[in-house]
Amino acid sequence: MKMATRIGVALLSGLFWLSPPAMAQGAQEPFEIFAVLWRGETKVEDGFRDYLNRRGISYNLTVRNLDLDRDKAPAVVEEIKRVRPDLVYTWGTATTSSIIGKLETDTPGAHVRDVPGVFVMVSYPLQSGIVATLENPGRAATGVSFLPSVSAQLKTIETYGKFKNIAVIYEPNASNSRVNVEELQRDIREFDMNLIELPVPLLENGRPDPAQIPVLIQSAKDKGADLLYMGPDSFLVSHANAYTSEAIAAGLPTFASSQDPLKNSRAMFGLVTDYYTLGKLAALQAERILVERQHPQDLPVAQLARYKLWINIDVVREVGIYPPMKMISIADFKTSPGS
Amino acid sequence: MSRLPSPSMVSGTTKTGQPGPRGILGKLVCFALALLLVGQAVLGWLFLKDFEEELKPQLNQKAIAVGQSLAGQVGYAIDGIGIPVDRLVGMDEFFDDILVLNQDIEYLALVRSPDNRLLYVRGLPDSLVENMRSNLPEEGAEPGREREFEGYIDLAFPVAAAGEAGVVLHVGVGANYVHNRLLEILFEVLTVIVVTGLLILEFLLFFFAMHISEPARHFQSALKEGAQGNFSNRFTIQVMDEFGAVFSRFNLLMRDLARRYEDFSFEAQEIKNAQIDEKLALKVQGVHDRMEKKFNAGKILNLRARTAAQIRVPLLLFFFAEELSRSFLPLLAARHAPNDPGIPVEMLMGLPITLFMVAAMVCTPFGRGLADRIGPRRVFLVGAGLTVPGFIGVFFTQTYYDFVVWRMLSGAGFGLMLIASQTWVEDHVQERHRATGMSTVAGSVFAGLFCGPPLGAIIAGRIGFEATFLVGAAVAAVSGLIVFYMLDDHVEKRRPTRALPDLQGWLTLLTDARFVAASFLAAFPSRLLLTGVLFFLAPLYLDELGNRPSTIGWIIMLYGLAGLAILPVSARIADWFPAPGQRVALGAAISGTGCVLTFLEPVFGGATATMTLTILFLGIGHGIMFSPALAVTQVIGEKHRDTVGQSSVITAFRMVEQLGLIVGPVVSAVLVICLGFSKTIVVIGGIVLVCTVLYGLISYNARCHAARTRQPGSLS
Repeated sequence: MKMATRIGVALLSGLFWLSPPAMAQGAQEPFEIFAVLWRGETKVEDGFRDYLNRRGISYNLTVRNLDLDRDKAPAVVEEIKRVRPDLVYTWGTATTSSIIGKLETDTPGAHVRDVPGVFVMVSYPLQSGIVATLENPGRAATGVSFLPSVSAQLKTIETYGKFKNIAVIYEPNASNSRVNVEELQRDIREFDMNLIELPVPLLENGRPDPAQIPVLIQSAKDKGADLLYMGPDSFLVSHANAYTSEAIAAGLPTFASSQDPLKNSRAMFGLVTDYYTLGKLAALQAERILVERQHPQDLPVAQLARYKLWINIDVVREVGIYPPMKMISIADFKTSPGS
Repeated sequence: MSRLPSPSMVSGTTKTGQPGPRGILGKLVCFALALLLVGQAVLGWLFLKDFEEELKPQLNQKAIAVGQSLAGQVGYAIDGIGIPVDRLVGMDEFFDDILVLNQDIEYLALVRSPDNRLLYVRGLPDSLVENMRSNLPEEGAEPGREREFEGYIDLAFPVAAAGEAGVVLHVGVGANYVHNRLLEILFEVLTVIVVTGLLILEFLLFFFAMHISEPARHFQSALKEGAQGNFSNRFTIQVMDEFGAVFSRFNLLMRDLARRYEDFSFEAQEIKNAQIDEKLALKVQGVHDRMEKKFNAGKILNLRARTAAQIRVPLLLFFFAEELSRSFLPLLAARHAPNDPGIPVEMLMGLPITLFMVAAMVCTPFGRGLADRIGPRRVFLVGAGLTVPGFIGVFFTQTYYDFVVWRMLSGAGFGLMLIASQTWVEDHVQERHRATGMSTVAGSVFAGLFCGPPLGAIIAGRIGFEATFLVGAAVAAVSGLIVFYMLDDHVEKRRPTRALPDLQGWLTLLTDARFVAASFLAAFPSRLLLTGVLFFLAPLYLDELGNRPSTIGWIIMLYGLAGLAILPVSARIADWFPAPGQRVALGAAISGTGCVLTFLEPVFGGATATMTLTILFLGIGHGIMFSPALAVTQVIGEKHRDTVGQSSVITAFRMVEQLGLIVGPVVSAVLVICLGFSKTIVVIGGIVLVCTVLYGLISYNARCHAARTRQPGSLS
C-alpha cells in the first residue's frame, strides 16, 4: 500500500470514529434512554438525571415500571425492540435479568440484547450471571455495583455491638437474595457470629408470603437471634415497614444493607450506598457509552469507594441498644420517617 | 569523649621527638572543636528556649480544642441520641484512640459531679483513680478551667447535656510533658553535636595527615638526607597550598644544588682531562670520586604521602552509613514480612542480617583476589558501587524478598569495602605493626557504631525507616568519592597469597588446640554476640520494652562509645595482662557477663537499664579483645608458617569469625521463639562464658606445654 493511500485510510478511520459523538453533539439530537424500574422511581434516577443535565447531555428518558411483577417484562421488551433507544437503563436484579437477560440464556429473543445497557441496584451482577466478570462484562451492558462487601457489613455489625446470632430472612426465589445468603455463610466464619437462615415460605403462585414475616421474626427471636440482617431483597424491602415494626416489637434491631429500609422504614442501622450518588455514577457510565462511544463490554462495572453508616436514632432509643462512641463520631443519624 | 588514635599514631611513623605538627594538630583540633561545640550548644539552647516558650501555650490550646470536641461528642451522645451517661458504649476504646493520637494528653475521664462518680477513665494510674474528683466549674465559668492534680494539669469541660446535669470531662496533660519533650530534643541535639564533632575530628585528622603531617614528615626526612649530601629527593606537588609553595622552593633548591654539583663534576672532569701529568689527573679523579660518595644527585625520587590512616575516614563514613539503620533494621524487616510466610516472624526479622553477612562473606575472598590484581582503591570503589544501589533499593522496596535482595547487595559491597580497607592497611604498615594498623579498622567500626545508630534513629523518626537508607546511600557515596579523589591506585607486587588452607591445612589447624580455642571458643562467640545480641535482639527487645527509636539508637550507640574509649587504653590493659590470650579471655568474659546480667533485671532498675548495661559491657569486651585476637592468630600463624602458611591461618580464622556473624541472628531468633528476649540473652551470655572458660583452660594448657618443650631458661 502506498504511503498516501495509508494516510488516507488512517484519516478516514479517524473520521469514522470521531464522527458519531461529533454528529450527536453537533446536531443536538437527544439520546433516547429507556429506563425500566422495579418499584417506581428512587433517588437513583434523580442522580442519573442531574448528572446528565449538568453535563449538558441532551436526552429523552422514557420510564417504565414493572411494579414488582416480572410478568410485565415481555411487553416492555417488545416496546424497546420497537423504539430502538440508544441506551437501556434497568433497576434491580429482577428487572435487569427480565429485560436484558442473563449473559447465558436459552431465550435470547425474549430479551433486549443488541442495545447498550446500564444496570443499577443489581446486588451481585457476577453471581447473578448478568456479567462475565466485573472488569469485563462480556456483553453490551455494564452498570454500577451498589453493595458494600458482606465482610464490611459484618465488620460494621461487630463494631456496633456484641451481636452473636444473626438471623437472615430472605426470599428463596430471588437469585440476589440467595447469593447474599451464600456470601453471608462464607464470610461469617471470619467473625465470632452464627447465622440463622429463615427463607420466606412461598404461596401457591410461587410468590413469597408477606403474612409469614411476623412469624419468621418471632422464629428468629425464639432461635436466639439478637440481630436481624436485611439483605438487598426486593420482597422484604417492599414490606420493610411491617418487617421493621415487627422486629422492634420483638426487641430485635435490624441491620440493612440497602438504603430504603433505613430511609423509609425503621431499620436500626446499616452500611449503605447513597442512591443519589449511585445514580450519578450510572450516568457517568451512560455518558461514556453515548457520548464517548465506548463499548459497554470495555467498561468495568463501577463501584463507589465510600459507604455511609446510617443509624436511626428513634429505633436505637426504642430498642435500647446504643452505638459505641467511635461510631457516633462517624455515623449519619436519621430519625424514623414521619417522626 | 575519648581521644581517637590519630593517623600518625596508627601509621607509627612520626617518631622524631621534636615539637612537630602533632602539637599544631592538637591545638587546631581542640580550638576548632571547642568553637564548633560552643556555637552549636548556644544555637541549640536558643532554639530550645524559643521552643519552650511557644510550645506551652500551643499545647494548652490544643488540649482545650480536644476537650471541647470530646465534650461536644459526649453531649451529642447523651442529648442527641438519648444515651444515659452511665450507659455510653465503648468509652474505653474511644478514649484510648484519643490518647494514642495525642501523646501530650495523659488521661481522659468522665465524671458525674452530683455523686462525684468516676464513670469512665483511661490513662490515669490506678493509684490515682480514687483521688480523681470533679469540681464542677462555677456557673458561667469558662470551659477548660485548669487545676493541678497529682503532677498533671487537669482541664475540666462541662458536658452541655440537658438530659444529664453535672457531667464533666477531664483532660489531663502531663505537667512535665513539655519538660520531657524538651529533654528528648536536647538529647537529640546533643547527639547531633557529638556525632558531627566526632566526624569533624576525623575529617580534620584526615586532612591534616594528607596535607600537613605526612608532607612535613617527608620534608624532614628530605632535609635530613640533604644534610647528608643526598639531593635526589623531589616532591610531587599536588596542591599549591602553603606546603606546596615550600615544596616548590625546596624542589628549586634541590634542582639548583644538583645543577651546581653537575657543573662542578663536569669541571672536575674537564680539569682531569686537561692534565698531562697522570699523577695529577689521578688526584683530581680521586677528589671527584670522593665527592660522588659524599653527595648523591643521580636519580630523582618522587615522595608522595600515602599512609594506612588515609582509609580511615572513608571506612568510617561507610560504617556510619550502614549503622544508620542499626536501631530499626529488624523492625523494618518485620514490617515487610509476608502475612503468612510459614516460618516464624522472628526468623524473618533476623534473616536480612544473616544474609547480609553471607553476601559479605562470599565476596571477601573474591575481593581479596581482586585487590591483589587491581589494588584496594578500585575494590573499595566497586564495593561502594554495590552498596549505594543497595541502600537506594531499600527505599523503593515493596516486598520482603526485595528487601532481602537489596540488603544482600549492600552486604556484598560491605564485604568488598572491608577487605579493600584491610588490604590498604596491610599494604601500608609493616608486618610487625599490623595489629596496630588494624586498629584503624576497629576505630572506624566503633566510630561508625557510635555515630550511626542514634543519628539514624533521629533521622528515621522524622523521615521514616526507608528514607533513612537514602541518607545512608548519600553518605556511602561520599565515602566512595573521597576514595576516588584522594587515594592513589597501587598494586603491591610481592604480597603473599591469602587463600584458605587446603584440606590438610584445615586438619592441621583443627587439631591445634590453640587455633580451635582462639577461633571457635573466642572469635566465633564474640561475633555471634555482635549480630545476635547487638544487631538483632537489642533493637527488638528495646522496642518491645516501649522505648522510642531515638532511645534505642542512643543505647546501641554505647557499644561504639565503649569500644572507642577502650581502644586508646588497650596498651595499659596490655601492661596488666601481657599475654594477648589473656586479653582475649578478659574481653570475652566481660561481654558474656554483660549478657548474663540480664538475669538480674530487677536489681538494675528494669529491663531497659539492664540492656543498656549489657550493651556497654559488650562494647568494652569487644574493644579489649579486638587487637589481641589478631596477635593471637599471628602467633598461631607463625607456628604453622611452614605447613599451612601464616596468611592462610589468618584467613581461616576470619572465616570462622564470619560464621559467627552469620549464625548470630539465626540462633537468637530460634532461642527467642522458645525462651523470650531476656532468657535468650542470658543463655547466649552463658554460652559465651562457658566458651571463655574453655578457651582460657586450653590456652593455659597449651602455653604450659609450649614452656615445657622449650629450652630451660628461655623466655616465653
